Amino acid sequence: MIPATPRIITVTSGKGGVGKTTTTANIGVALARRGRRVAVIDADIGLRNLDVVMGLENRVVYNLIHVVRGAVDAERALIRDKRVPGLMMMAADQHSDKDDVSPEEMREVCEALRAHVDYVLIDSPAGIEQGFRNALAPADEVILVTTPEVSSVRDADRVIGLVEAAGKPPPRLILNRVKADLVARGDMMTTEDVLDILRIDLLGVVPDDTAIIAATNRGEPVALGDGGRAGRAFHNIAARLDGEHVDVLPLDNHSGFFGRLSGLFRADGDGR
Amino acid sequence: MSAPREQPVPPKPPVAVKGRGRDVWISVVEDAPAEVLITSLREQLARRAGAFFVGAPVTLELRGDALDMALGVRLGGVIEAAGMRLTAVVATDAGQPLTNAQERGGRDAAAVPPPGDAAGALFVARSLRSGQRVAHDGDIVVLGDVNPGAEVVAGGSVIVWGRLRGLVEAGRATDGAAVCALDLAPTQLRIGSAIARAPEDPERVPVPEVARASDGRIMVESWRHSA
Repeated sequence: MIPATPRIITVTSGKGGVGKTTTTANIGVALARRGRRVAVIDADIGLRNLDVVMGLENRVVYNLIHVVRGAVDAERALIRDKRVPGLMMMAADQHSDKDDVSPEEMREVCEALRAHVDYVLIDSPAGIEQGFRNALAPADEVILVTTPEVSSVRDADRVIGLVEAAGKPPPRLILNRVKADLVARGDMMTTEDVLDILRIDLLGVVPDDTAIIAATNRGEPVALGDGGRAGRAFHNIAARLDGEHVDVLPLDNHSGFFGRLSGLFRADGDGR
Repeated sequence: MSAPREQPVPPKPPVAVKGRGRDVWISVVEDAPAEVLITSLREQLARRAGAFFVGAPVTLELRGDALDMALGVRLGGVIEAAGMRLTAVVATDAGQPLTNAQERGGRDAAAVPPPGDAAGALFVARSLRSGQRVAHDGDIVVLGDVNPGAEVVAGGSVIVWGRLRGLVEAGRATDGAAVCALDLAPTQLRIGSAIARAPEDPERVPVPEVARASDGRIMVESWRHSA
């Protein structure tokens, strides 16, 4: 099922270090493995790392800044991932900074790509300043990545307000690095706790998975394979983006609907 | 040639009751006269009555960006009568972002305007997110939540028909101001010169409360009248 128009999706978070780049790379891989043509763009100018995470660093010749300055066409700056047909990446430039690109220029770059792809995924830098505004400008849709921690949820809430004020549709949430054992003990926010504050649609929940660390260091996104808890979550997210209905994987036996229902009865049994 | 087992499809009710985790979301999905909505909700809750709903926190979603408070109160009554707790009312179409003008006002801006300049109540028909700030010389009514990191600053009183978890300052321009919320849990609460913060108690069950200043101290009491 090919989407009617190419979709430009910005992946953002507010807080740094919550897993935007890893998430963007893995969703790109997962979508491409479903047969879509996907261009992943690193908009984190000055602190680029999308190419590293995807293991394409040593093939970068032209980057986003070259395209913006008109030195090359957007297509020339796209690196085709040999592991996954249909997956392409455009790197950021490490030596410029975020003020060297304008929102309008970002829009033009994405327009130039529209004919070649089904999805453009833009990896936004952290923060809410110019880099974020540049990354947001071309977006048709926004994905918000957050971890179940008070500070990152607070920043995510702020970002949702800015996204809506920019006239974009409400972002969809990916809750990243969820640790089922901490959630069960009450030491980590539940998905419901996060949704209680952010009140946006949930796109997916990605469990904390130590395999990600090695994968990042090797430049092999986990979605290249079929196994792994995080990998499966990314594949489910790609399926949902493609319009499929996929149930959210339960973290463990007690986090499903009936698990929570029985928990409600136990609490009432205390006579509160 | 008619298909076997063909049955008339029942019309979808104008009020949808959905479980979302521990919470219950009651949404007005179709415009209909108030009596129709109230009857529909009452019937659905009666049909599904059981331990599941007792004490469950409810978010009520109304349609349109000009909220019908009278309807909200009546639906709230049906919800409370079914043993649930109404914790927030939100408007589905109230997607208007707060204008820059409202967000630009700094905390130190302007001496407090004299009472009598208050331009009636400011009606905010949506929730406030972290980083958003509403300031007004008169009273402020928020139909929705005030998230942690959001600020409400009023010359008069502040009423939050939802969960107040951000920063609230009332009574900058008048005496006798109050702060009311369905769930009064602000990070910081100021009325006039009195200041307080919500006690940290993850076990607390939220009830509607009113806060007022008395002798420079904040006093909080429950809003419910005994039935």
